[in-house]
Amino acid sequence: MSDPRELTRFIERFNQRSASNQGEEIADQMQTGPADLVERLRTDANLLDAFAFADILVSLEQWFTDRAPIWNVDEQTSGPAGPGGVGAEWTYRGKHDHQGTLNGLPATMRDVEVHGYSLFTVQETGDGPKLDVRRYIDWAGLYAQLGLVVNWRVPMSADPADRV
Amino acid sequence: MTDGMPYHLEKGPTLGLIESYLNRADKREVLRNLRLAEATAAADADASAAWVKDVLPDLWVDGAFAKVPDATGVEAGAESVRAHIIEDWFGYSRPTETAPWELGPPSPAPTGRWVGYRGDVNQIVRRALRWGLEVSLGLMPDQDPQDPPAHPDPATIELFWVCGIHWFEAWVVQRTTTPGGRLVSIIFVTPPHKGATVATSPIAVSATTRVNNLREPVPSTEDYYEVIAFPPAVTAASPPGWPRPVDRPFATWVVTHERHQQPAQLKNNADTAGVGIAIAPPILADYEGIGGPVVVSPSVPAGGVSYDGWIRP
Repeated sequence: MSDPRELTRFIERFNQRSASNQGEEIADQMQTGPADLVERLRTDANLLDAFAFADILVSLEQWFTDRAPIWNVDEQTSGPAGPGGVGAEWTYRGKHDHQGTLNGLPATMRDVEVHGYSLFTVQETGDGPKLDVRRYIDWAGLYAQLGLVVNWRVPMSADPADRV
Repeated sequence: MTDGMPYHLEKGPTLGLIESYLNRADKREVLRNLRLAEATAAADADASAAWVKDVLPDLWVDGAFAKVPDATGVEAGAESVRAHIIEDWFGYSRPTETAPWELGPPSPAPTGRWVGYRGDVNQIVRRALRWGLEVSLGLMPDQDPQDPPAHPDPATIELFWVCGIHWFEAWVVQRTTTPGGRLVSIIFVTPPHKGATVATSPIAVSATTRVNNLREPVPSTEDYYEVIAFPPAVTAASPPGWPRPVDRPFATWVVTHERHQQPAQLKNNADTAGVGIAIAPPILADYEGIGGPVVVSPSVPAGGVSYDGWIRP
């Protein structure tokens, strides 16, 4: 986490969701003991809930204002993933009222419901183990709620030889 | 006659023919028939689409319709084009080729071959042509076509089609030309249709727009394709007998990069990232223009126009 403001927001969001005020400890453990942290997340559903929330909200809060009920993690599909990972299938609700932040979109004032799955694992690197996340966000569903469309007029080569 | 739309904007053979006959016809008579079609449209689906054939009867016997792909003659070609308009644009259907037209499937099915759109395209097209004629003649909608029109010499009407926006619109654009002259442009701006493509380059490398085994059209070097040469390039000569490009009564030119490419294709937007690091929303596809700018007149089959405005059989 390179931007200290994002770290601060991560900690604030974690504490908002968990009410445990463990945000700083968790942020520190991301750097010092990612394998231990993933193990904790694999066995503590409440911790996983707050951790996934804090991670993705750093992004979503750029574009949306929270709308109740803000967030839930699906208990049936979240938890240990593989021998050394942990995942959370989540839903976030917000209102798109931020001007010009989502690729410059004007605020549409639309309510949105964002669906995603965040997978946390430990990756071995030359600098030691690092905590890694892959976020599978339903971007097409989000864009549709905002009224954006995929342009179904597909660009193709002018040369027929390239089309076969 | 072949049809295709490998460019974003098109006139091409079909709109070119309709435009030609619209300007040759007695515009007051056409307007009267369109108004009558609007007034009786609610009767049934078949009647509401009948105007396509009825308002410009001379159009449908033009020899150019014999060139419609797979048509056995003018009549079959004309029927094929009318069916394309009523079925693919308006969204009507019929169980057999001789049965009356019926309304297409209800919501949420899309209208015709449009992707992600439902609407009464028939009404929009008919109203756009009506209003275009009224502007051309200088007759308000409540004025009788027999009234002396404000413009005894009706303005010329031109037609264009732009494909690839959210929903179906028609624009009627009017302007003066020479002193006393006027031009009315009707531009159909539509959603993409099933199978719609656009060529990443305006430069044609194919001899024909329709190529064997390809469903979709490509830019072609057919009549009246031309690329303008700008200094220091060698001046390209137009084919013998053609007016200079700047002197032509009719032409459409696209000015753009020589080609467009996707510099980076999004394959996995969930790629590895640091926890708590803000991400950017993905732009699903972006295009980079390379080379040029080029100035190109598309061939008629690829949506362009002939220099004299005629669609030849």
